[in-house]
Amino acid sequence: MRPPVSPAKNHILLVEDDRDIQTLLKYNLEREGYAVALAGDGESAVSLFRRQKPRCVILDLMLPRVDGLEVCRLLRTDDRRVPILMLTAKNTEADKIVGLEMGADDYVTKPFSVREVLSRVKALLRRTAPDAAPASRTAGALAVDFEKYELLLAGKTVPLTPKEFELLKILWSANGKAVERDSLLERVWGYDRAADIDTRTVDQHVARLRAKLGREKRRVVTVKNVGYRFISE
Amino acid sequence: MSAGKILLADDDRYITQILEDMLVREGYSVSVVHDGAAALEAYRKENPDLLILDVSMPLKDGLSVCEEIRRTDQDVLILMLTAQRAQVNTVQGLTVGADDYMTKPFGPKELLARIRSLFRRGHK
Repeated sequence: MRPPVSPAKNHILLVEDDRDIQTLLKYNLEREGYAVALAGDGESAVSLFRRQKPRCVILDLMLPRVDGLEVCRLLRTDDRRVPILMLTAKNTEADKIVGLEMGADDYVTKPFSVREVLSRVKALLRRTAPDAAPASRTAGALAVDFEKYELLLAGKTVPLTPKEFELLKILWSANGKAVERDSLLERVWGYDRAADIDTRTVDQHVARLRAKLGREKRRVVTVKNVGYRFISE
Repeated sequence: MSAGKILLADDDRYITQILEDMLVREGYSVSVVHDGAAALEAYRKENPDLLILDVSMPLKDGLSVCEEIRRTDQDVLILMLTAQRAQVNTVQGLTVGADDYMTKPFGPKELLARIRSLFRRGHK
């Protein structure tokens, strides 16, 4: 199975057609330790995003080729969790509401303070930082490596689909806490698509995952009317 | 079903009344307190999904409340709200662990859009 590209640590995609703002922000972000990729138009923003999977996107709205709102919509269909900060001269309340409703996580108007943008980026990344779970864990005869997307049962590879692996990862990383069905649906299948998918989908995938866990299937426990939890002890 | 549980802490009763009405109309369940100490107490008792904290409040200011909560809870959503327009406050608010920061006067619709965005991003 081919694992998804993991986002580079502190990698930011800056989408801005104004050269001066590009330079100013790139300089300051790099000083804070971020790696910055630049896109000067909407089309290259989307293609860079798909190739590089950044941890955060700073997005201007008035862009050549594909405008910022459309870029935001496209990014959100690919990835509903990546933080998007809109940085724009459009400063009416209506503009801000449209931006936030289109999927932006934050909205800053020009002229802006560099310090404020930096602290907002930091706040967005703090909220969406990957859980500091160890990359590999064991539970009984199970051994998982979340980075290699590999699960072993008594030393033998268990072939999991990407969705099954993602389910296992979320449940295992919850450290014994129950995870709600809705939350699994949202995190594994994505928010937008979730509307069309029934929570029974989660049950079906959990059933398949359990079947593949053999004698360790008892570790995935049903929590009645809530969801599931993973017991690692 | 409630769209989410919000704890609103602001000593300006006019503001809390307007916000409470608006948030309840949007389907949120809302608790209101008027000082920082009460905010901490209500946070511990009620386990809200989101706190809206004014920066300058009696007994304990919003920044201290935010800082104290963040020592043990990285998940609860925090939006700071203040009349202080100085940029340093925005930076300070976000540095002590707020997820978003708005200055008064603010458009209520923008506040709602930001709250929706925070809930969408949700808990880690």
